Amino acid sequence: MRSNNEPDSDAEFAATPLLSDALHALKEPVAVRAEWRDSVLREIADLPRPQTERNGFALWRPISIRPLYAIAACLAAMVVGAVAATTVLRPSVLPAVANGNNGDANHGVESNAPVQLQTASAGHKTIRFALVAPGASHVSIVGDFNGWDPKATPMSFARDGNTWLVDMPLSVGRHLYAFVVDGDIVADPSAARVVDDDFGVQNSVVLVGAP
Amino acid sequence: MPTRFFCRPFVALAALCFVLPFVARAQQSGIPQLPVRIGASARATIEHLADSLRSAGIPSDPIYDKAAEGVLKGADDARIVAATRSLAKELGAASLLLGPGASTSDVVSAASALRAGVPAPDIQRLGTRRIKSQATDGRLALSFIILADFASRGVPVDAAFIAVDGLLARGAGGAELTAFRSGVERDLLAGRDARATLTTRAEGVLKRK
Repeated sequence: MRSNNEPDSDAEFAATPLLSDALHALKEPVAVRAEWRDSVLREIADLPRPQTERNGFALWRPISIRPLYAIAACLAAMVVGAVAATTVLRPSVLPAVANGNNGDANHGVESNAPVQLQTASAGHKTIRFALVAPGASHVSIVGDFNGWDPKATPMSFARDGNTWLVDMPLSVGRHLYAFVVDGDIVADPSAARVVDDDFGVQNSVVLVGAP
Repeated sequence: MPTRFFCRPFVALAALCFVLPFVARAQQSGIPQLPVRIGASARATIEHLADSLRSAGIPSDPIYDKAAEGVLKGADDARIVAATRSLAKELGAASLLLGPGASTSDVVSAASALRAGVPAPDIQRLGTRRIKSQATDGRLALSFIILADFASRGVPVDAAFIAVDGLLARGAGGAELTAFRSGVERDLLAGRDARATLTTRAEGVLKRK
C-alpha cells in the first residue's frame, strides 16, 4: 500500500519541469564523434560470421537456380536412381566361403550335398551349395528360386582352388536346381535327382525343412 | 533469368525423382517376366495361362519359372508351352483338391506331389485334415514335399502316405516331419526295406515327441 507522501503516478514526475527536461534529454540521440562511430562499425563488420554461413551451403538457405537447370538436375537424379535401382534390386549375389577337393573327368565336377546353415528370416533358411569343379572358369547356380537365370547367382571360387560355393536364403519347401558350369547344365552329383520329363534334363532337388 | 527456389522443396523434388525409379522397378519386379527368347505366340499362350491362374487365386509364379527353365535348357517354344500348360493343369488340380483357403506353398507343393505320382485322393485327404485342424504352419506343405520326395525315390506311395498321414493325425510338427524324412532317407541309403523303415521311423519320431 502506498503512503500519502509518495507520488500517485508517473504523471506527477513528468509534471516536474526538471525531470521532464531530463527525460527529453535521454530520448535524444547521443552525439558521438564520427571517428569513434566508424571504429565501432568496423569492429562489428570484422566479427566472425555464424557457423552456417562459413559452411557455404545450408539446406534452409535460398539458392538461385534457373528452371532449366532445376529440370536437368531432376532428370539427372532420375537417371542415377534408375541405375541404382537396377543395381540394387536385381537378384542378390551372395558371398561364399568354404573348401573342397578335386574333381573328375566328367566336367571335373563333384559336389557336397547342400547344407542348411541357419535361419535367414521367417520361413527362410540359408543353404550352402558346393560344387567341386577345379577346371571350370565360371560356375553359377540356377533354380526355381532365381528364375533359372544363369547370371543371377554366380558361385565363388573357394580358397582351396577347387570348390565353387554359394550361400542362398531359400524359402521352406522343395526347390529344383542345377549348376551351370561354363555354359553346361550339370545336376548336383550329391543331391537327390528327379528326371525332368518336360525338357529331358535332370534337375537336383533340395528340401528346406520347416522352422 | 534466374528464379529463386528454396532449397528444401527442391531437394525434396530431386529426392522424389531419385526414388521414383525404385518404386517403378519394385512394382515391375512384382510380376515375373518371361524370357525374351520366347516367341510372341508362345508368350501370349503362357501369359494367358498365368492370367487364368491368377484370376482363380492360384499362384502363377511357377509358370514363369517353368518357362525360364525351358529357355535355359534350350527347349523350343512348343515344348515350353506344353510344359507350362501341364504345370498349370497340375496347379489347378491341386488347388481344387485342397479347397479354398489353401496357401500358395500348399498348392505348389501339392502340385509337385501330384507330378511325382501321389494319387489325387491322398492329396485331398491331407487337404481335408488341414481344413479340420485349420493348420497354417506349413506342415501340410512339408507333408506334400516329403511325399513327393519319397515318390521320386521309388518309395511305395501308399505306405508313405499312411506314415505321413499318421504323423499329422498324431500332431507331429515340422521338426518331427523333417526328422522322419531324414531318418527314412538314411535307411534307404543303407539299403533297408522302404515299407519297414517308414513304419519304424514314424514310430520313433512320435516316441521322441
